[in-house]
Amino acid sequence: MRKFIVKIFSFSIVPFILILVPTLLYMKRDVYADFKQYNNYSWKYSFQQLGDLSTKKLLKAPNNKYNSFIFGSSRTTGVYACYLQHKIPNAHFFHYANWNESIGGMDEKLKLLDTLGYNISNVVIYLDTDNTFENDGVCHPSDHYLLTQKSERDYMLSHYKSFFSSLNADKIKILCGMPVSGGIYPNWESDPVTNDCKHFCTDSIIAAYGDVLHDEKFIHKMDSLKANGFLYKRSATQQYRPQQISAGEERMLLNIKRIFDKHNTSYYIVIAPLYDQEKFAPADMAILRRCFGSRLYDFSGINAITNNVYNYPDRKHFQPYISKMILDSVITDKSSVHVQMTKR
Amino acid sequence: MLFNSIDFAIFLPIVFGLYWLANNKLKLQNILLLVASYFFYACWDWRFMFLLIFSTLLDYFTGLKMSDTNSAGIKKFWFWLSISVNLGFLGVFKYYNFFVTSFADGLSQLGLHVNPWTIRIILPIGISFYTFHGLSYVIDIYKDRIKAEKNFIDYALFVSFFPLLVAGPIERATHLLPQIQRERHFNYAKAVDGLRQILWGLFKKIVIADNCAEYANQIFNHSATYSGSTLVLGALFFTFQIYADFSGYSDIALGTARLFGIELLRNFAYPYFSRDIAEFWRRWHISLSSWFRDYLYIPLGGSRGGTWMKVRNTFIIFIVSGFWHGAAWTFIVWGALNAVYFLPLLLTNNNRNNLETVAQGKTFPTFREFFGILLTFGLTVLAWIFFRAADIHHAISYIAGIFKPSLFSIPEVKPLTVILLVILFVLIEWRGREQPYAIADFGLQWKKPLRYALYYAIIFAIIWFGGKEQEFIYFQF
Repeated sequence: MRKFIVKIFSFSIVPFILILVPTLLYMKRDVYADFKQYNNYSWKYSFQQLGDLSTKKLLKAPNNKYNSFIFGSSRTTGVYACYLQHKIPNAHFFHYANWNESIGGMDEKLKLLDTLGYNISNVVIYLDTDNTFENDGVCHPSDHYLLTQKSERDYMLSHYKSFFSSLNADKIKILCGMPVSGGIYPNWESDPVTNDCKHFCTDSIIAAYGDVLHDEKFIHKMDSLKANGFLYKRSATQQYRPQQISAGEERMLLNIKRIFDKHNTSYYIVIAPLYDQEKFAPADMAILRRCFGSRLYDFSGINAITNNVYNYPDRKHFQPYISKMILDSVITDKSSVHVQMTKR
Repeated sequence: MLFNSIDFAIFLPIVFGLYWLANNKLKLQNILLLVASYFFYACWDWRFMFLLIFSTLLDYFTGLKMSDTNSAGIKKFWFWLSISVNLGFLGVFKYYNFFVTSFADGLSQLGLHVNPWTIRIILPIGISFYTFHGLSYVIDIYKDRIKAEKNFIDYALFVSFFPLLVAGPIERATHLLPQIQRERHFNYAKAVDGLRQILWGLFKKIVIADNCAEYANQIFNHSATYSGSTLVLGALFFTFQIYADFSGYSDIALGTARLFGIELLRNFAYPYFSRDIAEFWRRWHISLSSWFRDYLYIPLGGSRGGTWMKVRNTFIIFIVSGFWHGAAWTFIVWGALNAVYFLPLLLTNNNRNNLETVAQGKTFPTFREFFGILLTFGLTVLAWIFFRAADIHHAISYIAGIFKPSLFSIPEVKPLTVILLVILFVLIEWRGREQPYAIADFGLQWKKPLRYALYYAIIFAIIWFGGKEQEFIYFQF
C-alpha cells in the first residue's frame, strides 16, 4: 500500500505542477470575472458570455441605480439606452445585453430584478422570429448562476473547464498576460453606466444615432455580398415560421406579463425586422397578442425596412438607425412606420 | 456523479483510502462500499434510491423464501412474485408510455382516436442494470444453481456496487458474490493495472466519444441538409462514439473495481475487429449478450430445435435486446436488423467460426480477415443509424440521403483533428487487441521516464482534446 501511495505521489508531481501553475494564472487573470468585482467589464475575449457579464455588472450596482431595462439578443445592440433616457423622462436604463437571448433568459432576468427589489418602470424587449423561442426557452447554460439556478461552484467550474478543455494559443497568451490576436468583440466597448454595446454614451453618439451611413465603400461591400449570394434573394410572398412557442414558453411569457403588471411597467415588445423576412406563425402571434395586446409591435416580414438590403450589415443584424426608427415609432405609438408594418 | 467528473475524482480517493484503512475487516469494508454505493447513486436523485433499496429487499427476501421451502408451489409463487414486480417496475418506468402511445397509434390506424394517458416520469438511472442483476439472482436460485445469500449487506453490495451500478457490466451472483464474501488484500500490481485501465477509459470517453459526439449530433440533427458523404461521416462518428463511450465506461468501472480488489466481468473485446456478426455479438456488451443467452435464448430452446425454432429464437433474443436499450421502434428495428445479419451464419452453422482474436501473434490480418472485418463493420455502421436516429422515418431518410450522387463529394464537415484521433485510437486498439484493454501492456517494458511520458501524454490528450462533456449514452438504458 505504501509503495502504491509513493508511486501515486511521484507520478502526480509533474501533472500537479502542470495543473497548478495554469490554475493560479487562470485565477490571477480572472477572464470570466469570477473571482473579483471590477469597474470595467469591457473585455475582448470572445468566449465570455455577454449576458453573464451584464448580470455581474448589474449585481455590482445599487438597486436604485436603474429603473428601465432593455432585453433581447445581439439585435438590441442598435438600441441605445442613452437615447431612450433622453426620450423617456426619469428613465435610468440598463441594457441587459446578451447573445442569442431566449425567452427563458428574459424571464429569469426579470425575475431576478424583481427579487433584487428593482423598480421596473420601462422595458424594451426585442423578440426574434429565429431564435427567441428555441429549446423550450431554456436560459443559456453559460448565463449567470442566479439565472440558471446552478450552484456557484458548478458555475465557476464550468468556466474553468470550458477555458481549459479547448485550450488554444490565444488562451495561453491570456494566461501569460499577453494581448490576444484577432477580432474585436462588442463587449470590448460597453458603456460603463448603461451597458450599451459597441459604443460609449456621448452626446455625439446620440446625435449621430439616426444617421444613415451609406457611403460608397459600404454600398460596394453590400453589392458584392448580394452578388456572391451571401445576402440571398428572399421569397416574394410572405413566409411564416413553423409554430415554435411551446407550452413552457407560453408560461414564461405570462410570467413576464405578470411582472410588468406588478410594477405597472411601460413596456414595448418589438418583433425585430430580420433579413429573412419571415413572420411568426399565426398561432404564435395569437399567443403573443394574448399576452401583450397592443404593446406588441411587429416589424418582421416583408416591409419597407426589410426590403432594403442596405439596412443589413450582415444576414443576422440590422443597422442602429433602424432601431432608432423603431423606438421613435413605438414610444410615441403614432408612427406611420408602425401602422404600415402591422397592416400587413 | 459521472466517472469523468471532479466529484468522482474526489469521491474515489476518499472511498479508496477508507476502504484500505479497514484492511482485514471484511464486514467493515463491505459496509463502507455499500454506503459509498448508495451515496454515489443518491447523487443523481436520492428519491430513486428507495426504488433501488426496495428492489434489493424484494429479491433478497424472495431468494430466502425460495431457499427455505421444499414446496415447488410456494417456490414458484415467490419466484413469479419477484419476476412480476421487477419487470413491473421496469415496465412502468421504461416502457409504459411506449406501449400506450403505440396502442393509440394502432387504434388510430383503424380509425379509432383515443387520447393515451401517458405519465411524465424520469427513468431511474441504472434501472435496467440493477433489475437484471436481481433477476439473474432470483432465476439462479429458482433453478437451484445457487443458494440464497443470507447476509443482506453482501447481497445489497452485489446489486449496488457503485462501479457497475448505473451502466454495468451486468454481473452474476456466481461471479461477484464469492468475491464480496472473500477477504480482499491490497495488491499493488492490480491497483496499478486498475489505474491504467481507468486512464484508458477516460481517454476513450473524453477524447474519442465526446469529440465524435459533437459531430455525430450535428450531422444527425441536421441530416436533411448534408451530402451523402457527410452522412457517412456522421454514421462513422456515431459508431466510434457509442463504442468509445460505453467501452470507456466499462474500462473505468473495471479499473475502479480492481482498485478495491474486485474483478468484474469483461464487457467489450474489440468488437469492431470482428470478422462476422456472430463474433461481433460475442465481443459487444458481453455481459448483456451472455445474460440474454443464459436466461432467454437457452430456456427458449436455443439453437437445438429445427430451423423455424432457430429463426424464432434468434429474432426474439435480438429484438428483446434492442428493446432493452430503449422504448422506441428504432431500437426494435436495430435488434431485428442484427437478427437478419446473424441468421445466415446460424443456419449455415458458421456462427462459431471465429472464436479466437483476429490475426493472433501477427501484425496484419490476412486479406480474407480484413475483408471480413470491413464487411462486418459496414453492416454494424448501417445498423447504428437506426439506433441513433430520432425515429424510423429519420433513419430511412438518413440512409436514403447517403445513397445520392453527393456520396462522392467532399464532406461539408471535416474535423481533421477528430478523424486523426480516431485513427490513432483504432491503431492503439489493434495493437492491444490480445490484451484485456488496449494499453494493458503498452510501455510496460519501457524505462520509467518513457512510460510515465506515455501516461502524461494520455492525460494531456484528455485535457487538450477533451470534447464538450456529455453523459454516458448507456445511462439512459
